[in-house]
Amino acid sequence: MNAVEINDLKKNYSRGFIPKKINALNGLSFSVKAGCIYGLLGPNGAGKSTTMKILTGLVRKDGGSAEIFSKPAGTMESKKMLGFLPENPVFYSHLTGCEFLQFSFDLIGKKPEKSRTRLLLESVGIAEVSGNQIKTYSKGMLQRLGIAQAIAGEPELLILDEPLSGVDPVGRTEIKEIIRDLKNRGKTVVISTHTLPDIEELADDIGIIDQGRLILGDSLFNITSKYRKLFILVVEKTDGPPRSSQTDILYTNCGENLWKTEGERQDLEKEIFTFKNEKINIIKFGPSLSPLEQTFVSLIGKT
Amino acid sequence: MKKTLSIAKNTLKIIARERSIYFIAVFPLFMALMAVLIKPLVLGEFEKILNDFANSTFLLTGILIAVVTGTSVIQTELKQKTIYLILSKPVPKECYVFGKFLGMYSVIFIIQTAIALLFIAVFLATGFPLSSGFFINFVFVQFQLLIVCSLSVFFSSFATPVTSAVFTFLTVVSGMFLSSALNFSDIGEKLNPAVAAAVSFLGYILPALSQIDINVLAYSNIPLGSDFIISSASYSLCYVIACLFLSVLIFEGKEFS
Repeated sequence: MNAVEINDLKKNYSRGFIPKKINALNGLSFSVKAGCIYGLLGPNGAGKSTTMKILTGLVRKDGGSAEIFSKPAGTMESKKMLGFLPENPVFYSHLTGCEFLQFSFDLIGKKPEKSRTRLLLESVGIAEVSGNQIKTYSKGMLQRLGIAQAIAGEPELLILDEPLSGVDPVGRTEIKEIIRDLKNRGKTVVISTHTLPDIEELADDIGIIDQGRLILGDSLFNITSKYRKLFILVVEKTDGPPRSSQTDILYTNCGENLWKTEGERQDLEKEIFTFKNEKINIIKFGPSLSPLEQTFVSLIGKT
Repeated sequence: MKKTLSIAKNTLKIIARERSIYFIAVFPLFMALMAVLIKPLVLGEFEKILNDFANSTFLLTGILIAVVTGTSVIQTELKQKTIYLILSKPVPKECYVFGKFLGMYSVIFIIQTAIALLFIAVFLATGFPLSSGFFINFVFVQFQLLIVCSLSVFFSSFATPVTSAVFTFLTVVSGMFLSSALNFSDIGEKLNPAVAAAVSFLGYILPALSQIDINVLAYSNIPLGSDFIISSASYSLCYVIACLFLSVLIFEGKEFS
């Protein structure tokens, strides 16, 4: 069963004093399998947040269909099955974390036991500060509280818009652990993010959208194995750029006496072999971007 | 209902943190003090003056709070996007609007009760008897303030905080003047029929707060007929329901992008 089913979804916004129509979603279609982590990627303005807002009922669609576990998105039935963390969530600063969670439980219509609230706060790692006012929380704590309110009702589907934005490396690792734990508990998670290495660690399936359309939708494994992997080579040479025997390899300066090039692994290995004979120092050799980053850049660059 | 009450409780907490509320709360203290200070100047009319002061304080404070806080109650949530965390949950929009209204009125009611206690203290301190009219008037002022609150929520559902405050204030004031004017003149005889029809229509649209202002009747201990009580309560209830219904309609069509 699919947790999310989106078909030919369309959404236009009107902006400006003399209304100008902007196509946010232009026939977007994709589906998310139940129990998996789905990474929704795309450049700024691609339509990720609009898609998430249509799924949560905050924005109306202009055409097509969007369903959550076969229920139309935006209805009370579908909302009962989802938890949402918006991008840069803002909370009521005068409440404590515990009070806000209690408020969330009330809105969901569930009466929590104190132990359940405590357990939830512990599971996201903010139990110690749960009695403090939210205005004293750091960005990482706010994201954790956001996740806590999203999972408060034990929803089957979680929609997380940029859950790792602005969080320090330790916080990122812990939030990723929370997301993995949710998947292990059988929940479906849809994540939108700009940080591709993070999504590479988490997602089972990926959807890349641009200009309101899906331009690639596949499993992470298929995507990363299908696309060519570029490597980077940095060498040290005092008297100008190295001369390459291969015409398509060009070196650019990247620091004092440092020269950089990018290309296929076997081509660069040939270069390294030549340089060893010429006694040129090899400073760095490795993948230039992660496989997903390369896929993303090559796809978005084309469109 | 629990969702509505929860939103109301949260709204009450939000408004209670607004500094402007505490500035407005100084006004009743000032009015009570003024009432005591002018006692030597009003020969034999002090009881009426005190009643008028109490009535004006109830109304003005309530309207000011409704205008100042009510207009930002929804708009602040839209601006700060805290509304995302509420409406992405299974919360019907009517629960949200009604919860906001209830929360806002709760704040006004708490302050009104405090003002009532303050003036009761002034009555007792100055040695004047407190009539039942004072309490009946208090109830009728609440009818008026319920209408002002609902108007404030209505304008707040689509206008910016400043324009919403201006709209609410102007609607309330023009409603008061128009209903008074309609009371004292027969517009059918004096005006062109089309203009008279338009004025009558406006009379139905704008809140006729003067129609349910019983300050003079209460002070004079003139008994209120049951039909007047029922019609005043019904009018207030219908006006509140109409405003909230329109607010929900506007909210249903709203997008949170």
